Amino acid sequence: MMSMKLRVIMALILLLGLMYLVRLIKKRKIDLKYSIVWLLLPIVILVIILIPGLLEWVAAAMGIYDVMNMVFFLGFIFVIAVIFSLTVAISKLADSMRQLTQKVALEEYADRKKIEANSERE
Amino acid sequence: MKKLIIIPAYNESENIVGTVRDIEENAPDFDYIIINDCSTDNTLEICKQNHFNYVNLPINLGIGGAVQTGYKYAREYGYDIAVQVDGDGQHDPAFLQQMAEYLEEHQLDMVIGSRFITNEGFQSSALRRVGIVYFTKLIHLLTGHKITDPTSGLRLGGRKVIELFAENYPKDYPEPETAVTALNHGLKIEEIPVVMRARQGGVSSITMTKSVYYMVKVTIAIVIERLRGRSKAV
Repeated sequence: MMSMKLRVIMALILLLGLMYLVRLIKKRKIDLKYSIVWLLLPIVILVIILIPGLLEWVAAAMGIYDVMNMVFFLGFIFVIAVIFSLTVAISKLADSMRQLTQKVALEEYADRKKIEANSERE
Repeated sequence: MKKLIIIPAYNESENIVGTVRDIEENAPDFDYIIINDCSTDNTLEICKQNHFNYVNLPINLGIGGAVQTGYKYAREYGYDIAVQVDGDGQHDPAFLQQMAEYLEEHQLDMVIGSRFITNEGFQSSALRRVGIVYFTKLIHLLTGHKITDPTSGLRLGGRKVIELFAENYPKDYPEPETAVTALNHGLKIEEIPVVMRARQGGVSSITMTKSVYYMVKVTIAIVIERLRGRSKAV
């Protein structure tokens, strides 16, 4: 069981993190779409801290003997899920960037040819 | 018939003038477009000075993105035939006319120039040939078609191929994969013998360490490409 002191310190850190996150979202530095998962994480941890015995209950319900094993296991799954979603996001970005680059280059070519044709006429 | 040669160029300042002159001399029926893939040397300046026909990519896209730009160019300017010739002087433009005629005569969608029909000219290293034979076998297993030189960059395509590649083209090491893509779409591919030269300057993009990535990536790409084809057919 966590001591009261540890609970208070962790709750404070989480609240600070949460405030920082909200500030970034307000400034539009993080896309809300990708920030939802980061908003949910500290909220879930806060709930765990504030309700004593919750973790033990969940571990028992999942048939996991050691609470810490469950924490590591769920944390690992969470991290994998986030990294995977990043891979999807990067792939999409790279594809958009490729198409944009090609479009810009072909339009620049068309403009250049137009200018060349005009200067030849003069 | 409007015929286009796509020349992807990344840091090809040593070769680009020779490549273009070679084309003008030996493939006079073809137009060409250089795709400068954001070279860090003076490839762009050389193109400007010599009044070459070039498209300048503002960001480096790699070989796949550069060649695809060429196919998009071919689509936009109404070309009937497009062929990729590397800027390093490995491909002899003298074969292009022959390939174009073969495509028209046999009503094909794609003609690949193969080094391994008559086994003349530059044959690549023994180790690379092992890789090439592996891809030939893999493609044969998955599609039932025999392509003796699946890594050949010398491939000439008709309108259907231009449309297909303008929409979808792999980012890197595209040759074996795109052959399977074309076969999946029911396009007709044949090979004719060509003689290739050893590269005249610059270095191959495929180093020893990259060749492992090459084998794995292209194998997965071919298998996935085949799965795409099946799901489409269902």
